Formats: sequence, C-alpha cells, structure tokens
Amino acid sequence: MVDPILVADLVLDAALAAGADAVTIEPAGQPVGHPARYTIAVARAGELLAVSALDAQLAIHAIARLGYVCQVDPAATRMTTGRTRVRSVDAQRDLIVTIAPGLHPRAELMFVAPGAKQAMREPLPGERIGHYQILCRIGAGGMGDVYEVEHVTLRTRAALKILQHEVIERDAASRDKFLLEAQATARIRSPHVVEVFDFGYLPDGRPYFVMELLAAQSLGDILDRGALPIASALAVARQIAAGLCAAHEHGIVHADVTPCNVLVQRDRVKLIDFGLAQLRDARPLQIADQLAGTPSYVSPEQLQGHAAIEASDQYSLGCVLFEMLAGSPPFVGDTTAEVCLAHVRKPPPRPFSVHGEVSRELAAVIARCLAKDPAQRFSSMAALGQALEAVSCNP
Amino acid sequence: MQPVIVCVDDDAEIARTVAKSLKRARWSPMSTTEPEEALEWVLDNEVAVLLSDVEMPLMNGIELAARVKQLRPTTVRILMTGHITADAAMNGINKGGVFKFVAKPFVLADLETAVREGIELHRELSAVAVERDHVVRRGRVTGEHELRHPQLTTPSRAHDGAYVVRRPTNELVSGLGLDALLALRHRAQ
Repeated sequence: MVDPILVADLVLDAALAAGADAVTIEPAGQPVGHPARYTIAVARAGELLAVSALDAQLAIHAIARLGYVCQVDPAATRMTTGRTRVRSVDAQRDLIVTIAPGLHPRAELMFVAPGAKQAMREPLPGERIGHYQILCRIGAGGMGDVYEVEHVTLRTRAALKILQHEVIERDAASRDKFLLEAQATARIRSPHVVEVFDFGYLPDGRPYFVMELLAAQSLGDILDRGALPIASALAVARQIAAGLCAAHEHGIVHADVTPCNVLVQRDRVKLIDFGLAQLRDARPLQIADQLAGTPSYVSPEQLQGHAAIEASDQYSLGCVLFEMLAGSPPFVGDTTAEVCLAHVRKPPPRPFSVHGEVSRELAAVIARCLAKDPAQRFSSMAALGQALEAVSCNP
Repeated sequence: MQPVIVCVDDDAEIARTVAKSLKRARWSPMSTTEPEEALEWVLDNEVAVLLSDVEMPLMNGIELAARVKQLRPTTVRILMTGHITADAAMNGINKGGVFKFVAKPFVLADLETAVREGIELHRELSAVAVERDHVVRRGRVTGEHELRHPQLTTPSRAHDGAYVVRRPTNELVSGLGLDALLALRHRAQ
C-alpha cells in the first residue's frame, strides 16, 4: 500500500520546486459512481505546468493529509480553508488549502509568499494536536495553559500544556525555557515527579508537551483550608524531597518549589511545573526584569541575582514545610519587597504547628533548610531526605 | 423558523388558552389533551419547549417530562401545576429534568416569560449538542484515517510551526502515474 503522505509530499515538493502558485486535486472527468482516478494539476500564473492522474483512494487520502497539514477540520461538511507555512529544500511558502468535502472530495492549493505570522488562538474541544484530541481546558501553569486530551488511537487521557502566547510576546526566550521545562521533566524518572512523554509544535509555532493526567489537587489549595497535621506535613515533605532528589541526580534544579507546584493525589505527592528549572549542562537562563521563583518560597541567593542551585530547592522546601505546619510561610509582608528583604536579612521564626508541638529535631531540620548561606544547609537533597526520614513527629 | 412549543393539559380549555397566548407571542404552539400525542409531536418535530400539566390521567407530567428528557434531551420541559408536593417536585427535577414549574392559576405574561427562557435554553442545548456531535464525528474520522495510514493525521513541524516537506525518492513513488510531477520537480532542479 502506497503511503498518501508520500503523495502529498511529492505534490508539495514539485509545486515548491517549480514555483507553482496553484494545484488542483479533483476527480477525473464526470464521475458516475466512484471515480477510479483523480487528476492533479499544477499551475503557475495560469499556465499549466503538469497534470498527473492518480488512484482515487490514494488521492482522497492525500487530500486528507494536506488538510491535516493545514489544520482543516477533517469532519467539516462544508468547503473549508486552512493555512500553514510549508518548507522544502527549494523554497518556503504559505500554503492555503481549500477542501470541498464529500464522497468525492476536491482540494485547491494556493502557494503565497510567507506572510505575517499566523494568528495564535486557543485550541477548541475536539481539535487535534499531534496524536491528541483536545477535551477541555483544565488550568494554567507558570508559562502555559493545560488541557485534558485523549490519544486518538490509544484512547488514553493525558494533560497537554501549551506555551501561552502572552508569554511569547513578553519574553522572546520563552520558547527555549518551555522546551527546557519539558526536557527537564522528561529526564527525571521518579514517582514524585509528573511524567512528560511527548513534545511538539502547533502550526502557529507555539510549543507544547504532553504529560500524565493527575486527578489531584495542589498543596496550595489544601493549605488554603489551613495547616496540615504534623505527620501529614512530614509525609508530604519527604515525598517532595524524594522528587527533588531525583531531579538533582539528573542535574536539574527545580528553582520554584511552592505549594502550587506540588500535587497531592490521595497519599501520593508529585512535583510539577519545572518552568524555571535549570539544567547543569544547559546554557544559563536569562531571566531579565523578572523574579525567578515565587516570593514566599524563593531563596536568598536567587533574590540576590544568583542562579538557583540545588541548595535553593532545600530553602524553598523548608518554606513549604514551614507553611504546612504553621499555615503560613515563614516570611509574610504587605509587599513583595518586604517579603524578599525578610528572606535575605531576617532570621527565620521557629516553626510551630496549630496541631501540636513541633519536635526539636524537625525544627532543627527546617532551620537548617532556611539558613541564609547555602553552605550552611544540608550537603544534598538526599541528606535532607534522610534527615526528614529520621525525625519523629512527636516532641 | 418560529420555535415550536407543545402544550399539553387534560383540561382542553386551558390547553387552548395557553396555545392562543403563545401564538400571540409569535411562537408556533401545538396543543393537545393527550400526553401520548404530545410525546409523538416532540419526537417528530424540533420542539423547543414542552409545556405540560402535572396531574393528568394515563401519563402524568413528570412521567412525560422523563420520557422527553430521555428521547429528546434538547426539548426544554416546563410543568404547570396548581399544587405540588416536595416529592413530586424532586421527581420532576431529578427524573424529568424539569426547567421550571409554573404555578396555576398563572398570569399569561409569567408563562410567556418562562417559555421565553425555555426557548433560550433550548438554543444553547441545541448548539452544545451540535458541537458534541461534531467532536465525536471528528474523532471518528481522524481515528479511521490514523488506523488506515499511521501518521497521516500528525504532520510533524519545525520550531516555527512550518510543515517540512520530505522529498520522496523516485523509487518510492514510481508506478503511481505521477511521472509528470516527478518530471516537473526534476526540470526545476
């Protein structure tokens, strides 16, 4: 069986090579019943350059392929047009495909000079992105919108995150950061880090990645209802430490550990949103004019303009653990500047819990996480994890 | 097209009066005293609103609403009643998906307001149903395409979103009758 993708590629390749501006793919002659053949006519400025005949079924699937290339709705019942940029070894043009659907579909292709960038719009339920069909929008992360999707063949559900166009307009390097987030997350294999398994680009150039779908709520939402019992807080902290430990083993610093970036599904905790992650072997991120990290949990060294290091994640985890016990982070204030200044200068308060007395060991672990000098914190996230395992809930 | 309203009341006088009022409001009412006939009309026509009495012999309004909900969920159900128990109201909502109850005796203007809101809801429900059908159809079409020709539906793209055309070799596409395209490509190179 010949692949209609090859046929569609040959049509585009020949038309681009010859500088054609129009191609028509339609049933040959006046069909009675099912036409056996289709014709493909290539033209430039009204002059016919080539005509080929092709098996009807192959032509119909080649038309479908061209529709998918230009994001034409495959279930449309009326004539529909789509546009995308196409590039061959010879040329680059904007391709406009118009498909008249039906038993004997017909396609008209127009090639025009690459125009302004395509308008970015949000995908609608039912639309296809790569192998996935959009079901609904389920939220937004640091840089992107998140949709619930279904794999069209396997029928499995997943979450698909698309970089927000506002972020692209604000920050030209956001595409690279987004790719970095996907790469960072995909590299980590841990039950405590969300799994990323696919990456691609929309026709408008925006990148997306696909990750596991979790029926979970964020730790931030849970803490909105109040502090956790000491044993629960400790159990969550241990799992966050395990996820961060796996990330650090792969040379990845999360750099934005906050309650909103921790999902809790029953007793299982997963870290998400490596949007500010930094890879040891990647070029440093240029985060100009913006604060990397969330003020209540960001480390003093990040606030002083240094890149996040592994010990920075310990500091943020210390802040999160403090909030799980006390109901609010260690430093609060009326303004972001006030909070930032407190992170850099003010000694951290002693952790307390509304549910009982915090043991001396646990208080010591938190105090060490919250040390201003990264060198005074634990030697590694693994060491912090072990310390958390060793402490008891009871005073 | 005027929205079609089906009005059913075992009291023929009420059914006629309501229908007359709805006609004055420029809708297309159909009135009957038989719930079975009302159900047939709902099944055979694009009915926007079913307006039914609750207490009727053979089939009461809640049973009728439940049948309509099952068979034509986009037809909005409004029940008219002189007295109703809490149980009946709960059944109306839970089983019949009743949009509104209108108390008898009613002012015709109030009834018209309820019907107008029902028509608006019917429009929204119909639009959602059309969209849902389209999503299902799109999923089926792409599923069939992908099953027959894997990767057909998932063109890979470059960083800027452009579709990168692969150059098929002459051998791969030979014998398909596309010699004229191959020659065109060859001449241009």
